[in-house]
Amino acid sequence: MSKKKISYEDAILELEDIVKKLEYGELTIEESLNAFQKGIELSKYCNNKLDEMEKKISILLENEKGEIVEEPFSY
Amino acid sequence: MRYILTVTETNKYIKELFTRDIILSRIWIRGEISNYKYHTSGHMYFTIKDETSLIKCVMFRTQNSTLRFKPENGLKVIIGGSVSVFERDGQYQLYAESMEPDGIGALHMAFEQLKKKLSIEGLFDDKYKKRIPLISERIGVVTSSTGSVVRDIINVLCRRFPNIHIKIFPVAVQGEGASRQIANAIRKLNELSCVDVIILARGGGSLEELWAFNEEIVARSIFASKIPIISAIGHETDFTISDFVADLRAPTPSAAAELVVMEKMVLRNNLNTMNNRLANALTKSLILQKSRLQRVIESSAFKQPYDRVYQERMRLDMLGKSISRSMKTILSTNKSSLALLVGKLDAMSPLTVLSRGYSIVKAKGSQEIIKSVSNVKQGSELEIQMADGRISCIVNDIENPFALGGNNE
Repeated sequence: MSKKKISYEDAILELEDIVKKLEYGELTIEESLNAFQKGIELSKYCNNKLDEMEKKISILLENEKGEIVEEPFSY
Repeated sequence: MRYILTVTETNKYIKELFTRDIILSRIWIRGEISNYKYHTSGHMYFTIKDETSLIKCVMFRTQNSTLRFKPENGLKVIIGGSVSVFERDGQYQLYAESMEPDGIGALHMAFEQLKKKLSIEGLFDDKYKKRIPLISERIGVVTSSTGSVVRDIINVLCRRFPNIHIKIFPVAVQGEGASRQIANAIRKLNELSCVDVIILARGGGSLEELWAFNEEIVARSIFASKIPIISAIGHETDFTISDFVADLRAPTPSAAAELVVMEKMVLRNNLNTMNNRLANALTKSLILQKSRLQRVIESSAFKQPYDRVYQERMRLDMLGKSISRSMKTILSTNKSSLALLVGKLDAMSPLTVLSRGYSIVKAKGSQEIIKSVSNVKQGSELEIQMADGRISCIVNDIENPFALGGNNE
C-alpha cells in the first residue's frame, strides 16, 4: 500500500468497501483474511492521519513579483 | 427686409436655444428602450418611447462604461442627460449621461441579468459541482484578514479539528478592485494547488457592499477553480452570484467552517465503528465458512458413500422381481389357452363323434366319406364305421326328402 499517496477520504472509502464485502460474506477464507488485513492497515493509516496533521494557521501574501509567500498568521 | 440664413446657421441657432434652456440642458426622462444598438465604437444608440411618442437617444462610451446593467429593448428606464441638436442631421436627441432601470435598482437589474446569463451558460449546473472532501488537511480562506469573519472561521475550524492547516488569503471584500483581488486569490490558490478546499467568505452587508461577489470576474474564477469552493457571503438571506456558482453555499462563514471539517471526534468514532465492523465481519465470515464446511462433512454423500450403490441394487432387485412375475403371468395365461385349445381339438376328433352315436359311411374299398344320398345307388356296397367296429351293408332303398324336383345327380 502506498501510504504517501492515498488521501484520508480514499482510505476510509476503501475501508468501508472492505467492511461491506466482508459483511456480505461472499469472500473465500483467503480473501476474507486478506481483506481483514488490508482493512486493519487502512484503519491504522486513517487513525494516524487524524493525529499527524499539523496545526498551522498562515497567511498567504503576494510580493512585488507576484509570488505567494506564506507567513504565520496571528489573529 | 429679409435676413437669409444658411442651413448650418439655422441648426446652430436652434442648438443655441436648446442649450440655453434650463429644462432641456438638465433633464430626466422615463421611457422604454427600443431599437437599441451597441456600436463597435462603444457608443449606444437607441430610442426611448412611451405609448404615443419617441425620442432618439445616444449614450457615449465614457458614460455607458459605468453602467452596472446592460440596456436592452423593452427595458423601462429613467435617463438623465440633456436634449440637444445634432446639427449635421438637424435632429434633436437625448444625450444620456446616466441610466437606471425604472422600478428596480441598477444593481438588482445587473444581478438578475448576470444571473440569467451565467445560468444559461450552465455555470450553476449541479453537474459541475465538486464534492467537498470528507476531511481537508489544508483549508484556504479567501476573505478580509481583519474583522470577525476570519476569526470566526478559524475558531470553528480549530474547535472541531484542533490540528488543522488554515491558509488565509487576504482580499478586499468590498469597494474598488475587490472583485479582481478575489478572482486573483482563487486563481493563485489553484495555481499553487496548496489547499484542499476554499472558503470564500464575507460578513453581512448591503447589496452595494456585497457587490464584488456579484461580479462576473469572481463568478468565472469560482467556476474555473479545480479546488472545491464553499461560499459564505453575508447573512443567510443574502444570495450572491458567487453562491450560485460555488460548489456549496453555507448560510454564514461559521457554517462554512462547520461544513468543511467534520468534528475530529466524530471521525474518530466512525473509524472505531468501522474497526469493530471489520473484526465482527471477519469473525462472522469465518463462522460462516466453518458451518459451510460442517454441512459438507455431514452431508449424506460423505456419511454413506455407498448409498447410491445400495439404491441402485435395490432398484435392480425390484426390476428382477417384476420381470419374473410378468413371466409367470405370461406362462399361466398361455397354459390355460393351450388347455382350451386341446379341449376344442378333442371335441372335434372323429372318434369322439363316433362315441356319441354318429357313424361314418364310406363306399366299400374307398376312403371317401359319403356325405350325400346322391353318392349312393340301390345295391351299392357300403361300409359303416362305428365307434367300436365296422359294418358292411348293401343299400336297399334311397329316400331323399330334401331333393328338389327329382334326382340332382
